[in-house]
Amino acid sequence: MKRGAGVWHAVVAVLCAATVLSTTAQPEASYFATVDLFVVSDTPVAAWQVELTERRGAMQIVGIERGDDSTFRDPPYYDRVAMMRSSTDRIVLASFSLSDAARLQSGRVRIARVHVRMTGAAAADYEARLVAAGTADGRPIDAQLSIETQTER
Amino acid sequence: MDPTTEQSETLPPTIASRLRALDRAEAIVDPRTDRAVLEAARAYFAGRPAAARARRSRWAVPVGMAAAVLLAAVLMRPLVFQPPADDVDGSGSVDVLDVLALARMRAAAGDASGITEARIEELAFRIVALDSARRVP
Amino acid sequence: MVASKAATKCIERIACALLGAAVVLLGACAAYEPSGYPSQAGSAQTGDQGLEEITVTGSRIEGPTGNPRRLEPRERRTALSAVAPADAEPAGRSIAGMQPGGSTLLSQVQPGEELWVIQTSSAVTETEDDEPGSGTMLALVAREPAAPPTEVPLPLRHTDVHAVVTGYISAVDVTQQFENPYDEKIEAVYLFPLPEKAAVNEFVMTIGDRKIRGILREKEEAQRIYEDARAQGYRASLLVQHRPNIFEQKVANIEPGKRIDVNIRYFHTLAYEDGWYSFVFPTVVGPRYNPVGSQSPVAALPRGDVREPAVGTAVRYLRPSERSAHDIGITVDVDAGVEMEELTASHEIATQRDGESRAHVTLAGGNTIPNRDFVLKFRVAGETIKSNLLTYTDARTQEGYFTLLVYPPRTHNDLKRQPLEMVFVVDTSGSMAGEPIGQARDAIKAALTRLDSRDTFQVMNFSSDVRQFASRPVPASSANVERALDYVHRLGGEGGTEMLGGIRAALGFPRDPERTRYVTFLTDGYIGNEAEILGEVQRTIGDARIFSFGVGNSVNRYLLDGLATEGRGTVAYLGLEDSAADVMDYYFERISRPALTDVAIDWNGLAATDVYPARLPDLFPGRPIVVTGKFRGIPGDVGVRGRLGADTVSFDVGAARDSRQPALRSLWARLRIEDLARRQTLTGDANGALADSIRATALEHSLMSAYTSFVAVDATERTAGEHGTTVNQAVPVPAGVRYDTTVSGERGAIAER
Repeated sequence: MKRGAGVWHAVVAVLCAATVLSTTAQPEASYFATVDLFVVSDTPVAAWQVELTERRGAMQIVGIERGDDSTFRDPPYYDRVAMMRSSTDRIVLASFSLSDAARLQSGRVRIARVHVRMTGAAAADYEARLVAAGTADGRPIDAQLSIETQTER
Repeated sequence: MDPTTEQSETLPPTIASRLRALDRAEAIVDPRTDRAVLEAARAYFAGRPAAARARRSRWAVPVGMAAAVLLAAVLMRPLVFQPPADDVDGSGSVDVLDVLALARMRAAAGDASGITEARIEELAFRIVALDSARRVP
Repeated sequence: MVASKAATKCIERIACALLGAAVVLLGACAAYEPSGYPSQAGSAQTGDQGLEEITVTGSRIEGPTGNPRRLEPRERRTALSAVAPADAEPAGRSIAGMQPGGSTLLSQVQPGEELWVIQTSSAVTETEDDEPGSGTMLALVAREPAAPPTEVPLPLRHTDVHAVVTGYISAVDVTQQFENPYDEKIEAVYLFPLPEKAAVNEFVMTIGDRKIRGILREKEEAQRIYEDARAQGYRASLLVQHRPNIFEQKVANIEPGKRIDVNIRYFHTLAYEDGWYSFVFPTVVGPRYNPVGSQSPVAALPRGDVREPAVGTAVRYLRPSERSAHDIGITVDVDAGVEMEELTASHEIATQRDGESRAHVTLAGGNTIPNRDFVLKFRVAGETIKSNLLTYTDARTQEGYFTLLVYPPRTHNDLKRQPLEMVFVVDTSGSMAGEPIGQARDAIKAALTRLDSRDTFQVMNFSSDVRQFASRPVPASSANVERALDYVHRLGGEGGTEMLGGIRAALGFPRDPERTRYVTFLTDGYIGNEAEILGEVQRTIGDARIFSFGVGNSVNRYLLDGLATEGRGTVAYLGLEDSAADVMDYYFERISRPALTDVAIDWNGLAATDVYPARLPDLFPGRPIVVTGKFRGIPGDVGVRGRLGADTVSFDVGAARDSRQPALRSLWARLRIEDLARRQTLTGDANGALADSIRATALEHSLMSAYTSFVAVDATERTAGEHGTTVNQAVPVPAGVRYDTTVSGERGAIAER
């Protein structure tokens, strides 16, 4: 009888402790970051289309922002329905401007910024691909794409 | 590709055909069809010897039929010989440059272009769709 | 054996120790009260606020307004220290020692006991409690009633509304400008209304010249993201729907002196009546009455009240002596598509015409206090409006959407007068006191005098209970009408709003087979249990019709439209400046001569699905029926049929017209969500398959709903410091509504978190 009571006390104590601990349990850590997309081209760019992938599949988009050129469609086009998923591994962005070539930028130009939330502590693993880029009169151009990420933890 | 027919290109074929019948759209005839019909007609009216006529007439009928079928197909389905509606710039792929082309046409001609802002937005959202079923081919 | 006994004893001791520790820990958590009830005197501080009288009763303090409320730590310390210096020896009970280190009277006050502290100084100074400090909002500032309103600092500076109306569809951009007037970071929280059928599908946060488009997510997920961002110091915004017509905006980490704008875009359709289209932009949520047990109440609290409801939400209201700097600007670009003959508005406007069918309308300066709905009406020319079918095909999915507008004959002179059983149900609650009840009385009187010997009538009124003129409907004889006029004349406005009782009374008694029952509701709709009300109507409407009158300048249109929809009737809005008699005459004439009853649509190959409303209302002169749905197949000639008296009539609508308006898709989705929500009300299926359907529809069409929210985060940099104080944006009570009968009194209980 005594042994049974002791075991019962232990079970109750463990349950109480578990209840207390569960109420103070911390959710999985998350952090926020920005991903800036740059197009590098000697020719002024009037339209661009980019695919951004996060290989871990833990990317949660929390904001989309245009680049430095205010004549581009603001914000860029993206798949709104897909972005509503809890997390995604990729996003396709596109935008264009109807400005004259003389008013468009060339060189290294920031075209978009993606605000993301990542869960877990592991660093994100991004990959970006330039699907298409073109001039003011619609000619495709050969440009490069680069990305910069910033995280303040 | 004629942007004014864009809206009809996205409709089911039967609707497209009825609309065209109403619009009395001018038929676009492939030059090869045209030549085939002309040759068949010349052969028929040339007054050649019976054997030659018989030889030519052996081919004339199937060529004529083929020409008629092609003509009917062209009248009913002009898309068969034209690039997809969304490939506005005819590059062979559909991407932001097609959206830019539509936007430039609208900017140049306004409502007279037959292109609406809604059409531009639609194509733009389709080129960025992640779901392959909704992607533009 | 010995070893096992020892082990057992050891286990017992460990178990007891763990159990004890767990109990202690749980007890400590329960006992922890951040706000700190006054169990002992706090450290004295020199206060800068004078209160005339405070009563400490163990754990609660009553302020000068008499409303019991918790006194926040800083207020309590300030009040206590302001009473007397440590060395004072006032007559009577000594209050010496009310400082740290001394024996204190306050520490000796037990729950249930009272300590009265009366300060004779009547100085009421500006309080620094207007600034956020300890995580709570502002203290009350007592003012003389006759003094001009005092501007109180609040974060919402300006709301800018720009609407583009094309035909009967409007696309509206609302930009809310939040600016932090304090010297600490804040989170701004603002409850505001939108039209009840608004399809909200865009959300953009603007910081400087940067625009960050927000993402629509499931509600809980969006909340998590927002809270995470807020806790980590990032600027973020969250838009949540509490009701189909009430939304909450939260903006986190607004730094001192900085501004963050939030832009919302929505589509909605304009109401049409007798040649007039109406564009409505609601500006303020009216104070609601929430019956005990309301599932999702909207409490009406005074500015500075920091209580957070455990269930539902709360709107804070400015006192009559207060105002905020928040103003509103409205511009409307109208393209009616046909000749526009006349334009009127509820406010003073400036109008620029551009041809026959277009106009640019701006709210005039000096008319920008957002305390009543903005209503713009324009009349289109003569016989230009006819029944028509508009379609839109989504090129992405190949799904077709349509809107069918069925217009009745313009005149009713050739329509037969029907015998009526008129049941007037009038709201006589506190929010109706003053001008609203006067308008309601005038409207009923006008209707009573229109009745004739074919009709019967009843008058019911509800506030905290339901009363009625007669035990059952009486013939509309002269004598009965006279007595009823006297009854109506004596109706006033006070008490709660137990509308459910009114609904049950009006629909619960046996039908008269010789007459059509028209239940005419006259109310401002300031209740918090709309779902319950509409569910009751859905279940018990039968063959009756509901005719709902919204009385006042900022009524609950969601409820009133819902009553009319469920009741297959119609809704009218009676503003405080309108002639009640004229409005009632107009509607009475129409309901007594319907153009078509038992309406049905012949789709003729259109293959219509998901059609809303599922039950078509009667067709009245001057008021179209609007039917929205999806379709497959070729839109052919659609027909309408119904009964005109004893005859069956039918007519064709005409060929479909491709509208090329993607808004039709959003509008259809919004109606589908509304219909699913109504079915939820009827079935009580709050979290089952219907909720999943709402969620799926909202996500697919990128629409706000009860299950989806917009969130945006600026992840470029963290703001310094803690996440800051939450500041609830207080709003004025709607024009014509009395503050003292709707806000400062205890209208309904509020269970706190």
